[in-house]
Amino acid sequence: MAAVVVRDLSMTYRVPVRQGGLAAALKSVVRRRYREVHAVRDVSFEVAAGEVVGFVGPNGAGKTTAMKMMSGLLHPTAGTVEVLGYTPWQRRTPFLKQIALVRGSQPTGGLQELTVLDSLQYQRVLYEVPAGEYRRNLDELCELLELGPLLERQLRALSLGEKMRAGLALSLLYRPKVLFLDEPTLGLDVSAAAAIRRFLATYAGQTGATVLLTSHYMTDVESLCRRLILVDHGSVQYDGPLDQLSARLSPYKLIRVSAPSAAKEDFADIAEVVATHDISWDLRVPRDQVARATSMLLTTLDVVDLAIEEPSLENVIDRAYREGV
Amino acid sequence: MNSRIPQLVAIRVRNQFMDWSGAWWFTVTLVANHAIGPLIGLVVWSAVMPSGQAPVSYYVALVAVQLLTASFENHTFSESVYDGRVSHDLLKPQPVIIGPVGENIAIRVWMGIFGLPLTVVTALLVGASYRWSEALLAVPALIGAAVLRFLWTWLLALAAFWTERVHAIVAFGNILIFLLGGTAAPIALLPEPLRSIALALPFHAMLGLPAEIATGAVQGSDAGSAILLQLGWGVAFAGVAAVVWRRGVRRYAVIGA
Amino acid sequence: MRTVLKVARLFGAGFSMSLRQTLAFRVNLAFDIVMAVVQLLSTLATVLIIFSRTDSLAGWTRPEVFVLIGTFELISGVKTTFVDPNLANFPTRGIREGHLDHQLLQPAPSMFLVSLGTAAPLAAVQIPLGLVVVGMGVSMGGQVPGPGAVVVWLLLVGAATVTMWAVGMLLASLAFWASKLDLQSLYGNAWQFARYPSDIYAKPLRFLFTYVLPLALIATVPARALVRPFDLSSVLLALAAGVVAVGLAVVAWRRGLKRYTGATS
Repeated sequence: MAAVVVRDLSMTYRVPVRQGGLAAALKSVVRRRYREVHAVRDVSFEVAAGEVVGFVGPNGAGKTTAMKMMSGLLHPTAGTVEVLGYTPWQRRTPFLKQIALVRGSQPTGGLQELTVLDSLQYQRVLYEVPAGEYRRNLDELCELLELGPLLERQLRALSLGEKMRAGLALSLLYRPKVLFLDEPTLGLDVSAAAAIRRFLATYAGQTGATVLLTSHYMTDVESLCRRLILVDHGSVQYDGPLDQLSARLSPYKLIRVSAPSAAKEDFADIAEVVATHDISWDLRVPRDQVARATSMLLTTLDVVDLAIEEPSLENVIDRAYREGV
Repeated sequence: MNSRIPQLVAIRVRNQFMDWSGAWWFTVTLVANHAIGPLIGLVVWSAVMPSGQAPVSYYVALVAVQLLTASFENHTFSESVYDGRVSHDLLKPQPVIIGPVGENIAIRVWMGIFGLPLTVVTALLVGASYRWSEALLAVPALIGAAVLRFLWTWLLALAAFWTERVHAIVAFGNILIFLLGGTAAPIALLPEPLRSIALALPFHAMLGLPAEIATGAVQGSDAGSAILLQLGWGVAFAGVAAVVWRRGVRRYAVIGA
Repeated sequence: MRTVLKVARLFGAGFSMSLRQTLAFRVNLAFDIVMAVVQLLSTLATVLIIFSRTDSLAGWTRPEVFVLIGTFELISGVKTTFVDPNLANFPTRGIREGHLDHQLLQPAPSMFLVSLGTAAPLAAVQIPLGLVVVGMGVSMGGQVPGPGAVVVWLLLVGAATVTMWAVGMLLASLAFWASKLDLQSLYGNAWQFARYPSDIYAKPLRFLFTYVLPLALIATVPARALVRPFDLSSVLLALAAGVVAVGLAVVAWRRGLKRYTGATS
């Protein structure tokens, strides 16, 4: 059974608009003018239990709004969402006990003067976690997230990376079945982000939780998600395996050749040269011609080194944002 | 530098005034907050005193005085000590007190803009009346009270250099003003030992005095000597404040932000 | 029933957390308790000053006014301890800074979390202080109220507390429609009108404070139950007001949540 079912989901809200200047300001006191913003338009998809899905899209695409609707924070203007069989915005207790939303911009809520351990204990009462399970989950999370030194510290005194780890611990204490992550590695340094990614991969693998993740960092998406949903201007532009998106958007691959004695003309029949640095040459080759081009290079030139690269996901996505899918 | 001070204050007032123009709702809540005390006093004492003797005009005048003398240095100044912003001001080539003075004046102007219509409406509703001569005589007393109340709150706000609980200290100071300054009861109606104490203390000079002059309760030469008393207290507060300021800054420099 | 138990447990946990947070700063303990006492003394001083000039304040004798002030202090204490710390910041911290989002994700009634999730434990000193003042009023009056009167008083104090909470909730819900509006401080100001017997207010104001913004029901009506003969109509009025207020609050909150479009993403 699908864990998350979204059908024709839409969110439209009105924002007041006003031209500059004093006259317009005075007029707006009497009569307000509004503009409609279609944050999410007719979005539909299904996520099976245990899947890890990545949402990407430019800022303002509607990813966070969609996530808030799926977790029950917002009422959509149209469409339906079913998560674990429940309608999220009815916010039934059994539903809330099985989901978690962690936002990179604000990983921990609640009283900031409390220690991490105090907050965990409050979560235990809130989510009615039985004592034995609490102990077990806590020990496991402590080990995976390296919480030991953090337990006695106040929430507000933690660095961003530490707050993220604490926030994840607070949210996973009650083993939610569906985990919504909104930019979990926002602002983290390279090691901290890698640690979070490793943790999420382990957790998802071990518990079979369904994970929906938004991120602007392609490393997150590449390392964690097999499936990618690209959202732009409020609609789904692409929904499918990660590698197929690259293939669709970027029908080329990059071949890097190091050939000391080569000259530009030597490549004329093989492939397009896009860059050159000293003895190495970058060639752009259509995917279906990679094998042929490679064998021609190896036979006609004195090749010292050769590498075939996928265009980086960053470039692919950048192109998707700018030109569409 | 001394000739620039009025100019600096004026600039500060103008900036703060503009700054506050966006916070009109906050000003409304401030006005409501401060008008409540005298308004309740009005109702209570109208019920206590036989009709005709009720201090109606006094309390309506008191609303205006309260709004125009309210001081918030614990918010404008003390908070800047707590979060370290005062360091910026200490490095500027102007006395730090100019900032709070400017903000104080700007806030009072805004409170006046929102509060005076309220006072006028209340006066009309309850039938308060004043004589022009007395109202005019009350103006210098009002200015004296405004300065004096600023100095008192400023002095208390300086406690921020020593303690985190400046808001509690200022609240305590406001309770003293409430009880002995003329809001809980007009000074004339206080029972005896309390009344003489209240007249000797500066709180009456900060709040009730201008209202009493405006209603004719204090007249002529009494008014004159009361204003002189205001001056005396003002000088005393200013002197103490200067000493406390120097000690405070020294402590701040030692302890750090 | 399970929800009630859970809410009770959460309430206890929230109070315990708030207490721990407060105890982190020991100096505050002394200051806050002293402040509560001083403020109460200031009110009592005002009453003594009033009664140095007259024997009756709109028909209330001095012991009766003491009972009223004690009742007011008691309910005020509940408000300041349990309700104000949460609702005061609701428009800024809750809606604009997104704290509400965290609360909406938690498996407990949102109205509870938003209004009673944390506490200011030290303000609770007002509750025993209020009881002491009520006791003083009773002993000054010389007449000990019968057990029936005490029960009615307790009932009305309960109704007043519920009404107080509901009005606060209702005003907070308005932030969903106009998030810049901070009505809690205005509520706190209007609250001061309940400090004195509502009989001192002229008829139109008295009507306002009984039927529209039920401040008279906070202290005047319960105090009357303790020092005056039993009056069924005011008891029914107080209970009805409580029910109506809670109903309005729930409706406003639910509608507001539907409208909620969240803090900026």
